[in-house]
Amino acid sequence: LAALVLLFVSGGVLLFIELGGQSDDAQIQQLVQNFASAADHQDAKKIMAELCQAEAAGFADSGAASSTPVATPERHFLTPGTSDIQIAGDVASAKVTRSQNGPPANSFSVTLYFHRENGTWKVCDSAATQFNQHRKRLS
Amino acid sequence: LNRKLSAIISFIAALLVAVSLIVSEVPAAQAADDPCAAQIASLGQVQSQISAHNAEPHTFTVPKEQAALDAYDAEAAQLNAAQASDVTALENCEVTLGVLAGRGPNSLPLKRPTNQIRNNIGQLKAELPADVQQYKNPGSAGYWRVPPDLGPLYDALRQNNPGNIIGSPYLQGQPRPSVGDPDPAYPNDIIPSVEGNPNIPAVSADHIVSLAEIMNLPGFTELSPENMYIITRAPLNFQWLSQAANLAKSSREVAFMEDADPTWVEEQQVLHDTVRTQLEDIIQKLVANQ
Repeated sequence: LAALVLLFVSGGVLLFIELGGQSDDAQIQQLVQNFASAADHQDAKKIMAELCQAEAAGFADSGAASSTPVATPERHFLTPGTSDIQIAGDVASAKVTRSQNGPPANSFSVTLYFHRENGTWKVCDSAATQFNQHRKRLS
Repeated sequence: LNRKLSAIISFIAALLVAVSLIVSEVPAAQAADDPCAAQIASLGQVQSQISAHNAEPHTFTVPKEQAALDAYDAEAAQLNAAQASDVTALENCEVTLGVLAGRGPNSLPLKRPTNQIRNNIGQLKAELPADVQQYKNPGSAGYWRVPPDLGPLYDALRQNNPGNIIGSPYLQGQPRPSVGDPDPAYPNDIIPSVEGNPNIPAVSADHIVSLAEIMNLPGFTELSPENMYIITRAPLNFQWLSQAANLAKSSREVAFMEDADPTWVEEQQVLHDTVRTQLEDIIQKLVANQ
């Protein structure tokens, strides 16, 4: 019976992931990859699509919003590495590491913040305050 | 002696006014549609009065006509003072426009609207509500937004702004970067060429203070249509930026993700604050004098 229950629960979880989409961590990792690619290709429309509403609106009113993507990125960053994902309700943070083979070789890390809007995670630097307040309350 | 003296005095009285007339006469044709139109009109009015004054009989016999001579001289002095004041106002207006024109002999020329564009902006300005709303601060994300009341006016002012810049004018005292020049935003990168043409650098003239922010500057909605157009295209407010730098400037996240140089980011903030202060000051002066 226990094995049956375990099978049932595991199947349910798998079904949830399949139907309900990716886990938060996976969504954020995918978001970081998409955003990095959009930034590398200087694709204003894709950048805007990955930003939270407040930031996308400001970006839309800037001169950069009409930028056209470049075929080959000027910069040669490798796929970003995402680690230390922390979720606090509808806000989150992650450490993003980027490196390029060069020349010259370069590697750096930044902390990005995210906001979940209508069930979808968006890149959102202005969520940093809310995220840090949330963490402060929990600590 | 009296006759001789009176001739000399009358000559001097007439000369006082005539000299200043020669120094600063403004051609009437120049007044039309000029950003300093109010100052030119005022100066023109004083100069008409000076002409009328000079046309009056101005030969006096003293002491018999001392009072008339004194009155004539007093009027001359008053007209000279008025003219000097108007010349100063016109010079101030032209200095203001000079500041807007930016630095250096090769700077972008100050652009003026066509009649059609001026009329369109005037129409949109006339349609603004009496209590037009502007934002006092940027939005929660730190970026300036266009107030809903000002949307149509913003669209009109943004059209073809700055447009196709011909030649290589200096912006902020700097020439248009060439392909292969270092990109100040990314010290390890160079300015690339546009796709399909290896000789044309992928750079654009960037508004240092964004149009969205300008729409929110105090007094902006009180500007004349002509001055709205001039302020939103002032060479003072342009700089050359690579597209990559422009994106980093418009989104903190892009700057983080692309590792924009923190020194460049700080310099951009300082430049923005300096130009914003200049624009605020000029708007106040234009509103007061238009």
